[in-house]
Amino acid sequence: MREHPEPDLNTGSGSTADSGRAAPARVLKLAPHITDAEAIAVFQRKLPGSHTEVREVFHPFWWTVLSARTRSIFRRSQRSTSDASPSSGPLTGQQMNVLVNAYSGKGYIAEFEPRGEAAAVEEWLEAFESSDQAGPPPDADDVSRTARSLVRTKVVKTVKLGVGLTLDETVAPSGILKPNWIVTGANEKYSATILVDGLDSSHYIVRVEKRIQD
Amino acid sequence: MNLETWFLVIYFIAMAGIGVWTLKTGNKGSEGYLLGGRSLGPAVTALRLQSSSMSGYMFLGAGSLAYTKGYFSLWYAMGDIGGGVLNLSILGRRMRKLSQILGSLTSIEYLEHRYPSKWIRAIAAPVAVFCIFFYVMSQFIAGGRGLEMVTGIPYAWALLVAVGVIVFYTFLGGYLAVAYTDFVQAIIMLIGMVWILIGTLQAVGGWTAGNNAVGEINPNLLTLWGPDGIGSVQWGVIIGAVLVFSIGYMGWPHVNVSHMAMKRPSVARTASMYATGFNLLFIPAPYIVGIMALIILPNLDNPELAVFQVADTVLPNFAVGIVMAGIMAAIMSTADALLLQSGTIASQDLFQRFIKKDMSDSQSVWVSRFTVLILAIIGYIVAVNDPPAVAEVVIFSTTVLGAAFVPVYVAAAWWKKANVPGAISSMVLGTVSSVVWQLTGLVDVTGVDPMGIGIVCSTLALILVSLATQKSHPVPAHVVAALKETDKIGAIPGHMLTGQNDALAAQVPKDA
Repeated sequence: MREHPEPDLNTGSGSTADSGRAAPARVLKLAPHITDAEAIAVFQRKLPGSHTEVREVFHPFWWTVLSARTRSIFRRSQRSTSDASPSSGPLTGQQMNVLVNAYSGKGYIAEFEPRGEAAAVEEWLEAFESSDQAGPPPDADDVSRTARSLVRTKVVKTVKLGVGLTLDETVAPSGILKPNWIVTGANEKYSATILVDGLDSSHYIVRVEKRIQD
Repeated sequence: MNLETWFLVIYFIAMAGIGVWTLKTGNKGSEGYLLGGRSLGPAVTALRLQSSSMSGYMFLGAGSLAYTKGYFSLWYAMGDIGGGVLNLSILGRRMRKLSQILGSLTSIEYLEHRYPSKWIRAIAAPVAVFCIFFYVMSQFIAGGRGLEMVTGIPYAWALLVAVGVIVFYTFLGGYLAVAYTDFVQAIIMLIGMVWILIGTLQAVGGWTAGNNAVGEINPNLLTLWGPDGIGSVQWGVIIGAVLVFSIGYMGWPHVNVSHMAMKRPSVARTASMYATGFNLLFIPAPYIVGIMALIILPNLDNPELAVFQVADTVLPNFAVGIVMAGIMAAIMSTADALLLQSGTIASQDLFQRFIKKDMSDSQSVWVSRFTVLILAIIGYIVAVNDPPAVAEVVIFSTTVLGAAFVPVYVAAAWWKKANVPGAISSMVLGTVSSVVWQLTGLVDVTGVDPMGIGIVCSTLALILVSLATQKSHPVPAHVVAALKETDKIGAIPGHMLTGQNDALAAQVPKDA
């Protein structure tokens, strides 16, 4: 695994795939923080004594980074005009990594900076096609809008209205493949399929069925 | 300046100090400033929610209802106590999951995603802002009345100070100012209210002696049927009284948005236990104090001041100051949350959606600021010229919000056939029927509460219009799929759900 390359502010944020689907220009494949054995352990805590199968799956996300800066509305910004240029150096605002689900368009402020290996755009599109989610998928503009809206709401909610707010997109939207584990198994009472988050080991029950007792 | 006023001034300075300090901290760009609040535990989460939901109504409206109607007022208290849990039980998990899948940030946006039409937002946002304005105005009046009584300055000036403090507080902020001042305010409210209750019961010689004395004034005040006895009971009004604060909560956009912000369902469950504990301790107190005020202060000119006046009579001066700080805490935390919510609705749900789509972040915040200021100015003008009763305003706005939004929120999560025409007709009919019923005085003529009539109208409209327009306006496939995913909650054994992360529902692959 290597760190993702430095963000290029001038890089285009996305393109349109042959299928007409909005696709990112660059894709980063995250490595799981949770091993397959740990995913099985999550499953077995839910269904003790179960026999399981596990496989890794990837979910497509968009990723963008916003810099949020606040200042008192009673005071002019202390940045000089030249400092305001994005290319003049690192921005002093708080960096926020925003992940946007490529299907639902739902945004999350990530508590980590995504790191992983570069991957082919085709792999991202393949992951996109393999999902069961429905609905109009967001394009790069939607991603930027969602990220801004999310960060602005978050900032205004916490600093309220007494501060000036500046949001800068420091990394244009690119693709992320987020790892998850699908664990399927059964014990004497239930059979189930559980999706285990590959980053934080939280889980979601995809299906569960009660087994017929003889 | 008397001792009570000093306490209030110290309280205001302390709250403003926290805000200013956190602003300075924020300007230094300290880690976690903007993203603060993620690690809040269930106790802080629950009490923040309660301090934002409770309000000046509990100190003015509740006391006034109890003073004039005796134990009949407990119908409202019952709805208040159970409302939070009912809301979490009916909407909590499903709304959180569905909003995750549909990708909604605000509660109005959630409605638009569930019922995909721009008209949903165009109708819902103004109704929400309209009702929130009335609710905020009631907080202004409560603050003004409280300051007038404690400081002795004329109502118009007291109101101006109260509005100024609330708006100033809305412009302050930061991690501590938002998260932990709400928490601290909830504690102050609770201590203040329980202190008044204990002082009141001591003054009347205990609860039994107090009830005996109230019974001598009018034995019907000790019953749940009102001062005129069971013969004059209007069951429609009683049903409305319970409905207003029990299911009425489910129509509040600023309350429902908290469902969408839950970190984990397990936190919500624990938080609801804390919230219930807080409610059981806090909510009955102002009603009981209001009833006992009939003995302590039998000739009150303004029943709305019952709790204030009783506190002033039975507590030492320094305690009155602390209690007043508690009252202002309730008012400020509620008004502040509502003003921010109305600012957000105006900038994001109305202005950016319909007027200026490419609005910058700075412009968006300025729209919020102007909205807050305009609402404050209009609220001040109305409240200073012809101030209505706090209880009436709160019940009116909760009634309209409930009638307009409860059926569409509940059906959004529970009924797959609820569609756009059904939702639009439900919101319009619910709003119009409850407002008309209230303003034309049909409540007195028919004995039916506007909440009851509004809910019936909006529910029937939703069901009938949705069924009639299923073919012409089918629910989109992706919404049906999201609802099916949401349905899966019920069949899963409870022990397996513990700690489940519903956000992952949107990441399930096709072949899982």
